[in-house]
This record gives sequence, structure tokens and C-alpha cells, in this order.
Amino acid sequence: MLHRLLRRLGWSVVTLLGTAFLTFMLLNAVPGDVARVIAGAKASPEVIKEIHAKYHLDDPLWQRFFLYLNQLAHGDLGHSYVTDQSVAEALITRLPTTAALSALAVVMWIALAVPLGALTARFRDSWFDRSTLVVATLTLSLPAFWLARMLQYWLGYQWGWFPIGFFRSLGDLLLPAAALAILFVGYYARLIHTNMVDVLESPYIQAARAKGLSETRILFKHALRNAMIPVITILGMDVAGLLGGVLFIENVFALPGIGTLAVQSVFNLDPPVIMGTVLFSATMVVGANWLVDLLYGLIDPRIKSAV
Amino acid sequence: MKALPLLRTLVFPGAILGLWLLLLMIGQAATAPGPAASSTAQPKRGGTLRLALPADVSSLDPARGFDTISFQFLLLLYQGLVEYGDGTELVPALATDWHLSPDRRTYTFHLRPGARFSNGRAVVAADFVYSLERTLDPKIAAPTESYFEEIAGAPEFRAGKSPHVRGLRAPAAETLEIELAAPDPTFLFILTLPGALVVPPEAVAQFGANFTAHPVGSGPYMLTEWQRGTVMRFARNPLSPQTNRQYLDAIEVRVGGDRTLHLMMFERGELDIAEVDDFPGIPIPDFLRIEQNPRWHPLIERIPTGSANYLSMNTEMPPFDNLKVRQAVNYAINKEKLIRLLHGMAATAAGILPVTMPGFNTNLQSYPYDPAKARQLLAEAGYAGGLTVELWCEVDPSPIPASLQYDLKQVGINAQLNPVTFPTLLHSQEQRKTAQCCTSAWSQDYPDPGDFLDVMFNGNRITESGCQNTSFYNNPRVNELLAAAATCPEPAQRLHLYQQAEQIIVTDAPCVPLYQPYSYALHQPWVHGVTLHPVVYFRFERMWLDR
Repeated sequence: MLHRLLRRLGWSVVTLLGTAFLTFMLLNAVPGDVARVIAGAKASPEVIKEIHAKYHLDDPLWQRFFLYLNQLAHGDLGHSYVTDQSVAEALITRLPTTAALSALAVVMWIALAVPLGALTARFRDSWFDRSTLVVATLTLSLPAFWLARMLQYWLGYQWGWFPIGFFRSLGDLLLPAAALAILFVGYYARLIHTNMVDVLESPYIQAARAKGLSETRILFKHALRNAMIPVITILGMDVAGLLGGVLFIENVFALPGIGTLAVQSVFNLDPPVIMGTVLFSATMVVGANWLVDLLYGLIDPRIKSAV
Repeated sequence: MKALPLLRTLVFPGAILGLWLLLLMIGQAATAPGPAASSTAQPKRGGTLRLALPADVSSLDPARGFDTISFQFLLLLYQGLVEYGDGTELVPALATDWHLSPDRRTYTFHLRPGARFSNGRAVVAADFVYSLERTLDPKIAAPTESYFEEIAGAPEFRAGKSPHVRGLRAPAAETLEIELAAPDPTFLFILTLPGALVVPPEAVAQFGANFTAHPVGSGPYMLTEWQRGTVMRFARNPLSPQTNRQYLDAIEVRVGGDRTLHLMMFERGELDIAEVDDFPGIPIPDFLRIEQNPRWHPLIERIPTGSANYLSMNTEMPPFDNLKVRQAVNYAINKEKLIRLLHGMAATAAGILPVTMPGFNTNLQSYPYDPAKARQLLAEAGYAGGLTVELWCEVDPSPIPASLQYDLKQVGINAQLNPVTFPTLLHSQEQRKTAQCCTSAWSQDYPDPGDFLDVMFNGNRITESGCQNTSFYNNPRVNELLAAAATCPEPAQRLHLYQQAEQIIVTDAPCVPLYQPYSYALHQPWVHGVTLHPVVYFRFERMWLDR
């Protein structure tokens, strides 16, 4: 057990180091002078030289990478070259918005996907199942930025039902979270549907029916629990990788989260912030892997005993 | 089959949730503000001006912020010796008066008595010495540093050979002397730049690198809150001497979103000005709708900007090392079409200087749109069969690069677009022998032709990297004219020298002057005093509300 944990920890560190290395190298392969970003479009060549010296921009790449790693080892993610703000502070101040948006979206999509998946499995091939399939396919095909803009335009701007931008209270997250949830709900409904169909044909479900248990009890107590095991794995990874969708949603709705930070850092060519957001995202994915393993054990004791 | 109980189990909570959402939506709709127009003639105090920016300002430290957006907010917080009046004329700010020595090298300023920083301390001449030395300090790497290098002793100070700048002196608390190494007719304009705004040394020492988040100045407003990437709030500075220009109680700047969102919020009455972050100020796709709407049309302010957009050609790289090719490109571009694509939000450009610039030459000999002439010149240059070039441009939805590509294609030039981010574009075009041709732009730092011609076309300024002469154009005659104009004390003669230089540059065709954008401000009917300034653009401290 301890050996397995240590091995996983080792691989996690390797994954994060690899991510840091790749991102660092890619950033340096992008044509563009960071010094110009810092000093602005009109700074003289002398100022540009001074900034090169200040941030060691002319040092060999490997030397700069190890300097960065050393900084990381001391818990310092650096400072934004554009705003001079600490990257760690920027991530911490923006994390609650992203976390709240993600959590609300996950609650929304699970709250919709679970009953939809279960019911479409129960009433397979009915009009309800088929129409859900069509809607699910549609939502799967929607680009995040388009859906977000359409919801914002129609439900917010045209009809005035929701605030259309900026974050003042949790209520402002409803529409963005709904936009994010819609992107996932169809996929999860179909996933649960497929698993439920398999489970509902299992002998133990037949046995439960033979015992006279209610359909609600069979569906939600006995069948759903087993059908959810593979879903948990995918959910864990999706939540960790949610930054991809959050990125668009936050930008469209002007939410001060990590997604907007990531986009701004790319447009500003701000390496410390780009590195910070990428490493944050990678850490989330690695952490989610661990969490999924843990949840697996809780849901299915056989897996727990295997671990 | 027990479908009904099952459905009831799911549908009932769903209905409750739906009802709750519906009530929430109705509540939101009921509270959504809508515009209401009213008008009073006299400025009045009070209210909060609500603005939005797509991204945070880079810095509120005058030694570090030098972009157009930072500048507008720096002017809320800080003051310099002089400032712009209603036009491009200079008026006293913290200096009450000044005089120039007979050798035109030394300025003596008398400071306004009673001027105070927002921390309560009186502003003294030594604060200006400190602030200018801070701007010149290599450790700060201030973007405006090079503008102040002409102060006597600045190079020695920057080289670490002297602890202070010899040409900066404070003989009395309210007297400041600035000695230049050589006469410069534009130096008073340079004193309007952020690097010359005064800061108190004790506040800088207290906050260090974080001074940007705790700014202390003598400007009309103070920063009361800055949640990075979220919101900035400013409140009236009770100690500012500009009591006649502090109508607003507060200014709230929301950070985030794009122009489309900001315009939607503006139309819902949630913002007081549609867009303050960039030219042209109204999203281009929405411009026609807004301009033709009788509700908004009277609320649009327009001003020609002191900026211009170009197609730069690298004169050190083939085929643009050939004059005929460069002239052919000038004949090939349909500038009227560009203006149509921009919905008339810009004026066509014949020369280098914007129309707002002193010395703007209405008789400049330029290039009309003439594709046949372009093809003829290309044939004479040995490119009758056509040629391929790489055109660097910014990755944004602008229709301009595609239009340039089309026009060039019509005369036999296959321009392959290379869209890159703005920092990459800047870096590449400033790097020697890197970008064959690229879209470029320049906006004035101060209203003087030298700020365009000397910066962008002086061959003596060419460097290997970070070069703002993006055409790498070098004509000794032009260099001579620019040098003569830079120190010429006679204004009319000076402008004439610049006009001569501009005509030679246009004839040599290192770039195609494409267009000169207008800047727009779309404001709510309850916002008054929104007069765009040709250099500073928005002057929030002069606005007032009758909401």
C-alpha cells in the first residue's frame, strides 16, 4: 500500500515537472520579447536591455529553467511581468470564483444528467428517450463560447432575466454555470443511460424485481450506484480539466477566475502567469486522479480491497 | 410498472427548482436598470461613474505605466508640473509659472503653494527631483526613461557614476530647476508624460514594488480599492487643488469581459460609458447599429486621434529594398475600401503625420490608388511574373489584413498572412531582418511631429532589436533634417523642416500610410463633460452626472 502510494506520488511529481518543462520550452519557442511586454510598445532599446538583465532573459534556457524550478521549490510562482502581481496571489484570489462556478455547474449537470440517464434507461426507446438523445447530441456539439454568448444575449441582454456580466454575488454565477452545465449534461445523461441499461439487465436487478421492490428503489438505490462507478472516473477527470470550458465561460461573462487569468496571460505573453495557470491545471488533474481512486474505493469495496 | 410514482418523485422537486429559478429571473428583470434622460446646464457634484475595462491596467505607478489606458487613470491620481488645457496647449498644473534661460537649456519652475499629496504632505521641489531620478533609475527600467535622458547628468546617473542627476535641482522648497544637456523645444510636452508625475518618496519607500497598488499622488482622485482583475474604485481626493474638477464622488471600473459585453451592459444602463479601453471605443460590428439609432446617435463623441496605422515594409529585406516595389505597394492599396471596412471610423492617410499634428501637410505628394501603375512598377523592378511576401499582422478579427492581401493579389503580390499575438508582432517588427512587411501603428506621446518622424524614420535610431524604426529606413538627408528640426528654436521653421523630411519619406515609401482612426465615446444621457481630448482622450475628472 505504502509502496503504491509512493510510486503514485513519484509519478505525480514527474508529471508536474514534465508539464513545467514543456510549457517553459514552448513559451520560449514563441517569437516575442517579454521585455517589450513589460516595458510597453514605446520603450527604448536601452530600457529593453535593462529588463533583459533584470529578468535574466539573456541567460541560457536551461539555466533559466533551473532558476524557475528553484523558485518553485521555495513555493514562489513568481510575479506577473505585466501587472507585477504575485502569481500565487493572482491564483488564490481567483480560485474561489472558478471553484464556485465549477461546483455550481457540476451540481447542475449531475442533478439533470442522473435523472435523465436513469429515466431514459428505464423508458428505453420511448419518445422521451429519443428526444433526450437528440438534445444530448445537440448540446455535445455546441461550442462553449457560442453557447455562453447566446445565453448571455437572449436570457440576459434581450429578456433581462439574468445579470449578463461581472461577479457581484453568487446569483451572478447561475447563467454562466448553466452554460457550462449544458455542455456536459447531454454527455453524462447518455453515459449514465448506457451504464444503467447494462445494469438493469443484470440478474441481481431481476432478483430485486422478483422480490417485489419498488421501481424507484431498484433504479436509484440498486442500479444507479453500480452504473455510477465508471461515471465517477470520468467526472473526476472532467472536473479537473474543466478549466478548458471555464476559460471561455469566464471570459464571456467577465468573471474574475483562473480562466480569464489564463487567457489574459496568453494575450499578454506573460510567462510567469502562463506557467502558473498551466501548473495549477496540471495539479488539479493529478489531484483528481488521486481523488477518483479514493472515491472508487468508497463506492465499490471490492476495488478498495484490491488497493 | 411504477412509472408514475417515479416520475412524480423527480418532477416535483424539478418543478420547485424551476419555480425558484423563474422567480429569480423575474426578480432580476424587475431590478434591471434602464436609461432615463434628463439634462441640467450646470455641472453638479455627486454620483459614481461606472466604467469597464477588458483587462487590468498594467500599473498605477507613474514610473511603470505608459500605455494609453494606464495613462488615463494615472492622471486621476497624480499631477506633474504642466498639463494639457482644453486642446494641446500646456497650462500650469503643480507649477504656477516657469521661465527658460537665455541659452534655452534651463527651466525654472515655481510650484503651486499649498499643493499636497493625498497622504497630507506638502508637495515640494525635492519630490520632483526624486520622481524624475526614479524614472531614470536603471533598476526601475521605466518605459518613459529615454524621454528624460536629455536632462544634464542623466547618462552619468544611469551609468552609476553619479548618485544624483546633475541637471535636477531644488534650490528652494517651491523652486525646481531642470537643466538640459541641449535645448529641446518639446521638453515641456515631455513633462506631461507619466515619468514626470510626482510621487512622495516616503510612500514609495513604504510600499516598495507594491506602490502600484497603494498609489499616493496629488491628483483629483485616490485609489480606494483595487481587486486585481475584478474592480478598481477611486474616490475624490479632498486635498487636491483641482476642486473645480472633481464633480464625481467616485469612479468604479469593472475589469473583465470584452467590448460586446460592455456594450450590452451599457445599453442596459449598467455602464455610463460604453468603452474606454481602446480605439475606436465602440465595437466595430455594432457601430452602424449604434450610430443609426436616434437614441444613441446624439450621445456619440468623436475625435481624430493622434495616431495612424501603416503597412511597414522592411527596406533592408528583399523585395522591399527596392524602391519601385515599395512604391508599387503604395499604389496598390485601396485606402477608400479600408475606410468602408472600418465603417467610416477612420480617415484615409496620405502622409505619416496624423491630421491633428502641428505641421500636418495638406500639400503632401502621395500615392493615389492605381493598380495599373503598381503593376508597371513591379514589372520595372523585375517582378512582372509576381512575387510572394510574408505579411505579419495581429491575430484579431480586423478586416484590414485580408483587404491588404486582396489588393496586393490584384497587382501580382501574393501576401501570405502571418497572424500573431500583439507582443509577438511588436517583437518581430522591431527585430532586424525578421518581418518582411507588417501592419503597424503609432500614436503620439505628445503633439510634435518629431514624435512620429524621428522615432519611426530616423536611420540613426536603427538597432538590432527593439527598433521602433520598423521599416529600418535610413536616408542621410532625412536624418539631417530631423536632427536640425529637433533643436530648431523657431516653431515655423521647425515645422517646415519636418514637412521636408516627411515628403522625402513618403517619396521613399518605406511604409503605406493606411488610415488614421477616430476615437469615439458613447455615453449615457446623464453623463456630461465627456469631451474627448486629442492627447489624453478621456478626462474623467471633468465629467459629471445628473442621474
